[in-house]
Amino acid sequence: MAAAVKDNLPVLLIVTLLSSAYLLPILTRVRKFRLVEFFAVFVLALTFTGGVVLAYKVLATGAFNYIVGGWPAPWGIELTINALSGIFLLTIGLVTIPILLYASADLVEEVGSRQRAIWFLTLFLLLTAAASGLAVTGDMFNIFVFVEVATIASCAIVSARNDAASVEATFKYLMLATIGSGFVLLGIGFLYMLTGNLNLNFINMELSTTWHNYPTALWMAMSFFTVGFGVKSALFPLHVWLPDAHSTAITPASAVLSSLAVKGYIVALLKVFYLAVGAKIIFALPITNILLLLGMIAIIAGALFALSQDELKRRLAFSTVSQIGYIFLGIGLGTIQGLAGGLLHILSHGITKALLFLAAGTIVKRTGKTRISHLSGLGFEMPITFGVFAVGTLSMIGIPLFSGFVSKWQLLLGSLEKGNYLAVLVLIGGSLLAAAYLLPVLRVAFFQKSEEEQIREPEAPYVQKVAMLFLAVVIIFVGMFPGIFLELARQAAESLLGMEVLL
Amino acid sequence: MGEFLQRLLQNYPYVFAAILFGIGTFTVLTHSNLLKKVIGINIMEGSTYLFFVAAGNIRGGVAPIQDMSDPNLVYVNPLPQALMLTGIVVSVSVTALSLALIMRLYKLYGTVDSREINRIRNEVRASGSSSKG
Amino acid sequence: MILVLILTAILISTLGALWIAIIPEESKKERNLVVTTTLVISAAIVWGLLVYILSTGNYPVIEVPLASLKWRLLLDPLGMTYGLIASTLWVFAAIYSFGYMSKDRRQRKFFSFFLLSAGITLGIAFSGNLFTMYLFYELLTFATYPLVVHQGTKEALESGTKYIKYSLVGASFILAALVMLWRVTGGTLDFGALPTLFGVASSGQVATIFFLFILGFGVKAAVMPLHGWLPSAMVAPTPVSALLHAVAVVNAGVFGILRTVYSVFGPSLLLELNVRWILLVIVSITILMGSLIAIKQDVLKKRLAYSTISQLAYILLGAFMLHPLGLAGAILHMIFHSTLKIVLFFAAGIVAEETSYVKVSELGGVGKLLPLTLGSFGLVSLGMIGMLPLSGFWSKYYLLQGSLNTGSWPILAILLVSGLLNAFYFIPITISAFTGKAEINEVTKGSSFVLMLVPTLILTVLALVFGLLPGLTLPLVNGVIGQFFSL
Repeated sequence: MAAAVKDNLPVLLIVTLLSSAYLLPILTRVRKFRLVEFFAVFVLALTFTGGVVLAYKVLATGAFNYIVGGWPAPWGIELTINALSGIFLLTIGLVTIPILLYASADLVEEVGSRQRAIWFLTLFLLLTAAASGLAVTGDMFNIFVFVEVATIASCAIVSARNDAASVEATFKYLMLATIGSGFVLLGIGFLYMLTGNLNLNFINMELSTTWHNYPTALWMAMSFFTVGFGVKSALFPLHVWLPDAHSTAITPASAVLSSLAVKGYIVALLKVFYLAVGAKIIFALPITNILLLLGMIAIIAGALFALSQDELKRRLAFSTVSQIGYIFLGIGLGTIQGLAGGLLHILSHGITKALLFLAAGTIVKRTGKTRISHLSGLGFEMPITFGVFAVGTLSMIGIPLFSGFVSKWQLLLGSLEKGNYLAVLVLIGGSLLAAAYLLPVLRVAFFQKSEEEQIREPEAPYVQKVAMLFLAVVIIFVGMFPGIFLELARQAAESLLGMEVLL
Repeated sequence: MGEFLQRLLQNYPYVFAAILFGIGTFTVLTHSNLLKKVIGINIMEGSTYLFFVAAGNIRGGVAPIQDMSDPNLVYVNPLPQALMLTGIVVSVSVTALSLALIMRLYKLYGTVDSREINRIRNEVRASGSSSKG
Repeated sequence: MILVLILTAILISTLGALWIAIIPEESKKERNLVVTTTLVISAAIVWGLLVYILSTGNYPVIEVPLASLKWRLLLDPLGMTYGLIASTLWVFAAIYSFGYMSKDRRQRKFFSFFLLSAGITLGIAFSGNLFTMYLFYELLTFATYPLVVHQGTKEALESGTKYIKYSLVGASFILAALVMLWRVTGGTLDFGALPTLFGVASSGQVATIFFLFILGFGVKAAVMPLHGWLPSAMVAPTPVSALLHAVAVVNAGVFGILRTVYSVFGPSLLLELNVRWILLVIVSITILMGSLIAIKQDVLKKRLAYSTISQLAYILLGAFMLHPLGLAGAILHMIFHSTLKIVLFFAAGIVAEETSYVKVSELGGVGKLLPLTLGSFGLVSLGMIGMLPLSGFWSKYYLLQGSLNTGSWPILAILLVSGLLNAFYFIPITISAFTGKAEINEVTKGSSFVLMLVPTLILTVLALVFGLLPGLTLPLVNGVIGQFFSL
């Protein structure tokens, strides 16, 4: 039994998540809603354990393929589990568990009714399933399916509260994301026409010998993927949907969208680029240079937009646009260190932004104040909430001891490896801008005397505090002992770039 | 030039797919009527199905049902068609979700025009802040 | 054993800070006890370690690998010097603060960050590689920010923002330099090993990295034109100004530069690079400009701030001479300037608390009301100018010796002119304080006054002792010089 579970772990991850997602609506009749929430958290914990086992296996023995249903490729569907999957599965677990714990404290109250709360949980698990699917899939069409599941789930989760602003944001998000899907599908069509395969490894084999015959078609396919996944992962200037969607959704939804959903598409993009097309061809077509440029623009522009927002959650949403730029910058650098930095930033931004959104949500909920300039004097009223916010802020700026530093350090090394001093400048400038848009929150909250007499606000419920503290501890842990994560990221970068880059 | 036109004509399904994709995307991005946006999305998705199915088509091919009596039959590629069935399912769910959202918006604002919705929201916001101040 | 001691010295303040943060605002006795105990313990450990390394001559190293980077702590005479100054003066500042802050309603917050900063400062002192140092250097900014803005007024917040901006930009330069250094040396940031690792790098690269470090640390060392934050940070409570802006923070910058010059690049490499004159010119300008601007200041604390800018540049002057005597002058001036300047701030704080006078022009006759305070101020300011029998004489003496030995006559002239300017902005204060006529006739001296006066007096006596017996510092100075120059 144990052996069977262990052998089929990759597919079990997805199957468990999907089936429990669809099991949840049946559980409406369970009298104690706590139990339903507990079940959802339990499923996440279970799959996280699976993710850890897979990551460990990859670290120990290297990447491997899993054949679904005993039909070998190219006829059957293959799952490819490599270090990239490992690092993303770890991110998924570390982010979703605390977020769902946090959500469980006041979910029914937040979304309106028990029925809606259960749907929320369903969507949450679906989103997690799609993200896990993107992490392990090795098949082009599977990528499309998981991308679509993720898109629909994340759109629907935005409108969980069903108020005017979030429904509008959802619609905007859905339209743009669907256009993105169209581009992705076209890109898949091109690759299929060129190679007659959907399996990533087979496409790679086919292309590596024949790509010289049709560089234009390949170039078009690459552009379609870039635009398609760019829209979905909010690469500046395709980010227009993100601020509305992420700032109007309920707190746990904002957190999971910002920290996880957008990253899933980046993982998909990496798989298409490096596993299917291959590093050699990617570097021959100068597509990475475009990503590098877009990444740099995103870092600066996103941060500048964030600076001009006074609403706390919108500022965080624009901060995501800026931080996504870091990941694309890492991809664009195309060096081992740089790509490892970008991949590590998926993890470190994931946990950091989840924490910031949870803390921001708590602040908004407990005080009713959405604007940063109104927060004066609240720091000592809610020491834990603002304390973890401070941890998130320091990590976002990239202070040593916190996870953000590790990825930024790698990115800086990568930029120098490439000899790209402009990237160094942008990275450091981005950190300074992050300080400029996040530190004022703390300054106002802790050090500005408030004019009005403060009513002592109750702190967040116990569970929420635990969830936030957990994330804070993870951030500091990754910052202090990044060894294993760094090793995973480096292996992922090495396996994606392949040996030809080094020569 | 003539050769180029000829190649275009030969590959007419792709040309149409490209035109449809353009029309669809343009409709989504420019029309303020939310329902028209959804129609645009469907046109765009339709174009990708056309693209895929055309890619799997072989002229003179027949449906991929094995017929042992005639060894010279050419079958069209069934895989893109199967894939597009999945694609259609996806697009139906997207359409359903967006229609549900539109209904919700109509209930909230009494209109399905995004410009109107913007106007109403701004008015509400303005009056809200003025009453507060 | 050594490991435990070092970690205790650094961490005990952090634990103390946490303790204070938990106990309620009202339990003042317990809080003061915690603050005193932790600071005394860590100072005692630092003194003990100093005796240990100077008597045995071996410099213990502690390393903890951390992915591609590593934590590294190192006990060497240079680091000890800074650690010693900070940990010792912190005790005095704590006692002074008990008096000065006695009426404040947010002492819990104040003393938490006060202790936290003490631990972080020791972290900087004992850092064994640039990464560890960068970490503590960044943390120091965030831990001291709450102290700077403690008043919570608009002015305080603005100057706090200025402080953060300057510090973060400076730290960014350091980060950039760190990454480049890492590339050049193939992954080593350890002090001691570094000067030999520049073999392959071009001199242009080395110079770029060096100047990035100087720019970065120069912010906290308040080298002109990077000094803007220091005068405006004087809105902080006086013990904070005294401790952070005459002792810990600014000396962290100076210490960073000393480390860069001596532990990272090494004097011989820098002599080869031929950067000495540029540095000496910048520093000389800072010395003169600082003194000139100080004369114009009417607010006493601002005058002291500009004096600090000028005096810190003395230390750097000594360091940039790249000569054993210059380094001796720098080390001595780092010690003496801190002990002297903190007394001046303490005295200014007492005057402000007891009479609410903060301007130089208001001080006429105050000396008769507060004879001991102003007496200390007058005596110590003589030391600042560089007169016998106060400690300040000896550091200037070595700086002069150093400039003579490096053959730089202009520097000699600058030192003399600046000495005159110092006299010009310090002596009139004392004279008018004792000869003028005060508007008020009496001040009520409470128990807090005693708490503020005692550390001031002790440190004044210390300045005299060092002035009369300069040989006391000889082992330490010899240790530092022996570390970087083979005599």
